[in-house]
Amino acid sequence: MSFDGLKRALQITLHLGLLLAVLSMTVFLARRHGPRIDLTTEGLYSLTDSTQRVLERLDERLHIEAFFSPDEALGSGFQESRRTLRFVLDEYRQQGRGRVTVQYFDPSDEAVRKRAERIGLRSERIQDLEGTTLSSKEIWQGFRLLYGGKKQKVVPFVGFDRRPAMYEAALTPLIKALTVTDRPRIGVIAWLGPAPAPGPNTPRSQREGPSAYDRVLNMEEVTDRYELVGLDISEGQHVPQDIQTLILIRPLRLSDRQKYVIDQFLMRGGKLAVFADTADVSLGSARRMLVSEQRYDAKDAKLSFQEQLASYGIAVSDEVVFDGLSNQVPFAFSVVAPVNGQLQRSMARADYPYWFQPTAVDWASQARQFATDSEGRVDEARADIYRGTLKPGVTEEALQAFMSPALFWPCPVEVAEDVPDGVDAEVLMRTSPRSASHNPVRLTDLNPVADLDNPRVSYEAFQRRTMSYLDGERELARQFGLMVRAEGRFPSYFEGRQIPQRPREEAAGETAEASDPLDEPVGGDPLAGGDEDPIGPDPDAAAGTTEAPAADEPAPIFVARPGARLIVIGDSDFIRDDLVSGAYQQLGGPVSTIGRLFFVNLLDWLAEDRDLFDLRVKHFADRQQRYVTDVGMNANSARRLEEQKDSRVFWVRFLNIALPPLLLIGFGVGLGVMRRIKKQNFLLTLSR
Amino acid sequence: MAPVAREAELTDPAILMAPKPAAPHANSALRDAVVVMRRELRSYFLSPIAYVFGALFLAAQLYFTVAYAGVIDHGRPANLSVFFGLLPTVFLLFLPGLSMRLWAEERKLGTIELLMTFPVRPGSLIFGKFFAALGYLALLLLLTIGLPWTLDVAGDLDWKPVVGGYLASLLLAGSYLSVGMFFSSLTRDQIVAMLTSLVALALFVAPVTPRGVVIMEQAGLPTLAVQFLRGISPFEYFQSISRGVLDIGDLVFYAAFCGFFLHLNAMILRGRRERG
Repeated sequence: MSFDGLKRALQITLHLGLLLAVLSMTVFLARRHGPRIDLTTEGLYSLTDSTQRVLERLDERLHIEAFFSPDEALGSGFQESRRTLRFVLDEYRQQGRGRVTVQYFDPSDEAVRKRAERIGLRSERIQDLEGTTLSSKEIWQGFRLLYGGKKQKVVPFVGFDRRPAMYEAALTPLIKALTVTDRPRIGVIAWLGPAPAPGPNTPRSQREGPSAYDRVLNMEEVTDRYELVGLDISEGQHVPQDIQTLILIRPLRLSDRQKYVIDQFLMRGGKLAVFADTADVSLGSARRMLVSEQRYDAKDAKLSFQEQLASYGIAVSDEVVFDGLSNQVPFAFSVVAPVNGQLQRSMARADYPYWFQPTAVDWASQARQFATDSEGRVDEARADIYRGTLKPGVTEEALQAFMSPALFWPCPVEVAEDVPDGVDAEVLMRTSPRSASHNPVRLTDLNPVADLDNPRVSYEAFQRRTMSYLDGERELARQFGLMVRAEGRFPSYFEGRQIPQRPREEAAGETAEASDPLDEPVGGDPLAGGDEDPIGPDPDAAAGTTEAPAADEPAPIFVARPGARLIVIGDSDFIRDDLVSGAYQQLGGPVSTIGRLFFVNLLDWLAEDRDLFDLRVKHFADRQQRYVTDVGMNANSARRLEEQKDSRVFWVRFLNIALPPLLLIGFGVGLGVMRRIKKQNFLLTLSR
Repeated sequence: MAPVAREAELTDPAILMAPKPAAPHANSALRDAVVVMRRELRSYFLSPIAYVFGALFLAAQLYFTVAYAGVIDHGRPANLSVFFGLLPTVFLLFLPGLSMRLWAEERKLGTIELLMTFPVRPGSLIFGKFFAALGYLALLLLLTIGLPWTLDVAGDLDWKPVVGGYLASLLLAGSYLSVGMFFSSLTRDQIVAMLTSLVALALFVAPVTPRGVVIMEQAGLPTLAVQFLRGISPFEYFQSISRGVLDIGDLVFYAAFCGFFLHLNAMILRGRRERG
């Protein structure tokens, strides 16, 4: 090569090298500092306001160490999820504005792997499908979050998900937990002993022990941010003043004094959550169902707890409710069926309407369906009524604040008929319009396989029974409330009533009464005597007690102070240890997957901590394709609907595939013909 | 203008004596590019091959999306992620066929010499041809609008990510075309141009697919090199725009990628013009 040639080659190389360097730097800077716009309507790829609020409050540097197996080791499906995860981490870094750093480590390196193990991370084996090849791979995908070099949180392994919101939901609460300095104190009173019980014949309400809800009460997500204090009000002592939030789990046999303590807690502006449960139902061995008596009130109580709640604007029913349409949790039972000529035992699963998850479906939009009779005729007048009366299964507020758990043998909870002035009450969760409730709670009603020798026959009978209940409600589709919140200036249930004394004071009083016959009421109505204690106020006694409380007894408050809020949920099973842990499954019971999350969210709601609210649920619009409208519920219309759907889908597909190429070809042919005509005309003009 | 070319212009008497091309004014260069683009576009629509090519492209893309992947189905969410997910592969198979003729045909037919004598800067020629091919592809993509429309009618499609997806598809197509044009300018044989650009594009796509990574590593390519190739792969930057996230960095990457290959193309043309 000549010198000129060499010089030229060098110049070109230098030129291209410089150009590449400039372009690379530009791309690097643009990617690092350039804005990112999420075009999706739901903001699927944007960090929620929750995360942004949490990141804005970072006082110190948050360093995220991500221990990821190389992306190349993953199949394309998992790669997409990993890309989403990196994308989310990059968003944290960008939104952190210098306070968040992300560092990636590759555990395929032995030293890094040892470090990851030391930190507490772990690998997991995943089944990865690439093309037609299924392979098992050991994958690392964990984090360590270091805050200010002092506090740390470890996520041993984060599962693969293509939805960025899922990664955000895993990370942001941890960051929030790292930044918490003062934990609010929350009082908890649980009336149940530990479950599950070893013996099948012991109803859960009769078991003794500290709590059947220790799992949710001791979750890291809870204890990181809240200090839960177990309270005992059996002696009638008031809730300590530093506790602003009180949770009652399955209140049982409450004395009047305990009701008063609860009332006064609410009156002083406290936040009260009640997990009410009318039906104490559980499964024993071999799917035997156990029902025990559930009483809110102690035997010698004169006042009713349900009446007390109604005075605040919330009505708790004595019935048990079931739902024929919301997402049902299956009930598993064993059947013996012939297989290859031999009888074999296997497990069958059947929908069980007493276990269901209320859904955010706007039932009013399906008014016509509920106004359609078994012949497929639509009653338009009824449909119009339904459009006005049917409500979504879960309100937007509930969805955002709590998420909707599956409920097990719940009882209806509604807004009371007479909501006191100054109180705002709202149903947050409802059944579907294909629901019914019944009372008394009978074992025969609840058990889908009452006859263990003939489970199928038994299940069919159960179905007929539930259908008969539903048919009873069929005249007017009805939804039942399952969760109600109330806020405002609650009136005290004890206003104008006798203030109950503490048990020991009462006992002392009784002793005194017994020793001093002069204190006996004079001129009482002899007909009202006997064993019956009159329920309701004894003006003189009430006035006397109010005027002269015990030395350490605070004066009663009769109108709630600002900040008081009450929430009542018609079930407590979904936060039980055995349901949350999945241990109950061995007995044939359900598993509560959202129970834990619901509990954490409830604490946030009660503590009015809105930091994580937006994180709960991103609003995913219903974008499912529908080529036919579902009307009618009988088998014939279902088959017709299926055929109609298949036919429409086929033609829509065909047109979508064939029409664009045909249009293009048609345009080309048309253009060619036009040109030919033009050409012929031109030649004709020439020849003339 | 590149320094090498400027130096050659200053020293080569043939260039000095040649009639000066139109003043390097941005407006006139743009006007020239538009003229070239219109000429090219017209040539597309006068050629039956363009229709056959377009119909095949549409049929393949829509068949795989609708019939094979079943994007249209009762109860399925209405979104076009599968459509955009398949597009890079279909582009990979079809775009080298579109770009192969851009320069190779001109050279084979001998029209490139004529083209070079026009008072048009190589940049205008390149941009004209590039945007004509892109315009033709945009038209083909426009013909697929029936699919999102169907999904919108059946399931309330979110249109903004779809617009993002189409934009991403055009950017990806642009990057593929710029590579194809560069290889087309190197040879007079269209088949060679097509095959070389196919191989080059496959090399860009390979590091983004797990199988490709395995093959590259088995071939002895160091991990760093694989990661570098992944970093410069247009496919890598397609993902986020196609799902509805517009990152300025991605747009800058596509501009830089296309600009780099079009610049190489211009260097080849200038060199050829200089050599007469």
